[in-house]
Amino acid sequence: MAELMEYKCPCCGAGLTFSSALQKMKCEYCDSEFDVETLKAYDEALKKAEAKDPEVDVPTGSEWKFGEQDGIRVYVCQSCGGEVLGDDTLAASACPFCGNPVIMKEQFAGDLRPDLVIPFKLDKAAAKAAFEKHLMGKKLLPKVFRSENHIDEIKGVYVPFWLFDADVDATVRYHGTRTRAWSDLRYNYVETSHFSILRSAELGFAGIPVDGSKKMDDALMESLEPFDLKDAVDFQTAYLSGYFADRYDVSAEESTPRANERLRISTENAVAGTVSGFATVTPESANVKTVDSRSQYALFPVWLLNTTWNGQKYTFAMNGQTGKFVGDLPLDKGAYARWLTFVGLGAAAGLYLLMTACSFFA
Amino acid sequence: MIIPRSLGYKSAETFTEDFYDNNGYGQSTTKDGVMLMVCMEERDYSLDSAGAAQDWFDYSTRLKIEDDFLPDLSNGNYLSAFLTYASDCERVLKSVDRREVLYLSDLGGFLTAQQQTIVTRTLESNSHVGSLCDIVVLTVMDLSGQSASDYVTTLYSNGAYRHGVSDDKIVMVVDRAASKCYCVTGGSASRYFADADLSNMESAAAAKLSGGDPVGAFTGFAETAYSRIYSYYESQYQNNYGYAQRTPQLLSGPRAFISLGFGLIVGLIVVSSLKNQLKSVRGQVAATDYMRKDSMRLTDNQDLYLYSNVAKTPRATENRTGSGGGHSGGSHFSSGGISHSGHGGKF
Repeated sequence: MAELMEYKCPCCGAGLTFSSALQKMKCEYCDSEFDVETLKAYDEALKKAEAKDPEVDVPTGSEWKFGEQDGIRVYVCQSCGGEVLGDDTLAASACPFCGNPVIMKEQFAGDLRPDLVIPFKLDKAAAKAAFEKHLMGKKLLPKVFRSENHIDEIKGVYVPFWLFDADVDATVRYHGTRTRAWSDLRYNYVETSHFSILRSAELGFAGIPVDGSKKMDDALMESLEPFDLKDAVDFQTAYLSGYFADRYDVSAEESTPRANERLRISTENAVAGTVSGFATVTPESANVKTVDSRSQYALFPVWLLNTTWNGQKYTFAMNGQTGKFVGDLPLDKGAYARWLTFVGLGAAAGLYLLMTACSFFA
Repeated sequence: MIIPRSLGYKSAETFTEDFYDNNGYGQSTTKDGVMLMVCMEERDYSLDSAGAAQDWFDYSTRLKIEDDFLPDLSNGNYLSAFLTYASDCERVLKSVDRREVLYLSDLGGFLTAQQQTIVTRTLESNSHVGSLCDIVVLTVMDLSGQSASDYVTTLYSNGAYRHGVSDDKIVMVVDRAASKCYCVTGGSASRYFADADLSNMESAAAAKLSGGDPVGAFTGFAETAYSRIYSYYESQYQNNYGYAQRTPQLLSGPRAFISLGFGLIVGLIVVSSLKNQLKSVRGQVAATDYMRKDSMRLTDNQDLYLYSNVAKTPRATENRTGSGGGHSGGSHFSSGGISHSGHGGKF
């Protein structure tokens, strides 16, 4: 079975978790606090280890259905001996029996080791409060959603991201026009002058994030941006203690097209901003080339909330660093119709009264 | 005709008007005349009419004359163009009534030459109220027992003057010896003025003349007459076009339809905005937040001129005799105080 890492309190032996409020490791039983730096030694061995091929361990006992055991890994909790099951990307979790935080060492060995991590700044209570605030003021949200929905799960997850740095050379060609108008007593004249506009530019980008996990919805993760890399630190497994984490299952090569697409659009917009003094500007061709592209593997903090209402599952996410909260809410169709009717009739009545008053005073 | 070497900094129309005013062209005190200016070096021309000639050479007449000589002018056949212009002008002058329209005759000697110009301009512009009625001032030293009405009739019947655009007129006759003012209407102008109106205008003018303000007396008369004529037609419109129907109605089908349409649009905008509040998951399109600060550097920047094209559309034809206003369209007074109408172009 695959090996687990567990951080134990040297004072009382209980599990240590990373505290977002203190930005330190804390024992929840004896309240002892430890700097993350002091636990660096635990990671040294990981750096030298090579990443192992995934082992598929079929548990004894009940029979698996066809395909069920693919990608499943089994870990043994060192605190209680219970089995911790996870898929091949699970990197940090908690023992379902004793709740002890566990970290899957092999997920961070060798080349799998992240370069950076942004530690959690906000805790579970902040996530719950943000969820409540997210529901407030939404006129078309079904009222029963607030009262009947129950949060199935709130978990803090370190989501794997690829961060791309690139220098860009861009050449864009436009067709522009300028107009001039004048009149004499018989005719109105409009002169249109046509121009070929060329702009070449160099730009630099740093830290374009692309979600490296197939399990996470890309749009949901992009909605949480931006993450501030000023708070990013060198990776240590200790930061993961008490949270969930996944290693990447989308490689840097697979993520590159998405980064390039965002980079291309930003470049074209920036270059277009240098064209001025024309009545119309139409892009004709654009050549955007990345030079010296580099990528880094990072873990970013995200609070995930799953809730169920009316048989449908809703997923919400909060940026564990900045507190930005996102998630689509259901629409109350009855409220939609009522608002449309009352606002529409109100506006119609107002305009009718105004037009009638004007006709009296005209 | 004038053929200058250069227009200097002036437009063709301004050059022509200034040249006309400053070089004593035109007939009598109203400077009636028509002038063609052609500047061959700048390939610019202007056709201008002044004074009463604006009625003889109105906008459509000038366009016809221009259409006749412009092809030769554009092709460089200047002699042919100039001869065509001259013969067209002669033809027009033979066909029009060139007698003066009478606005002011100051035999009583109330006004200086400059004051006469001011009063004539006011009378002329106020007379063009939808081309309805001439407003005229006649001053005499002594009517010698003749009635003001007989004096006006005699003056018009001898053929020296013509009417404006209609027979209707209101004439103020001032007898200097008797220090009296009389208002006389001609044609159908009596429908515009009640007896009380005429009496008030006479009194007002007499008061101003006694106060030594003849310009104020005559321009005040012109403006009062204009406003009476305008009021008459305004009330006529209300009577003829169903004044009762213009009473506002509380219930109106078109108004309700427009209001409902507006309400639907406003309602949809509001609920769309509220619905958008429920959606917060949106992918990022660009990476503007990740652009390194001050990293952008333009390495090439070219704006190359390719070509030009010119589109021209005809303008609506100008109507000199505008309705409802005191001044005709297209006509204006130059800096020399002479009324001009004109236009020009490139050839």
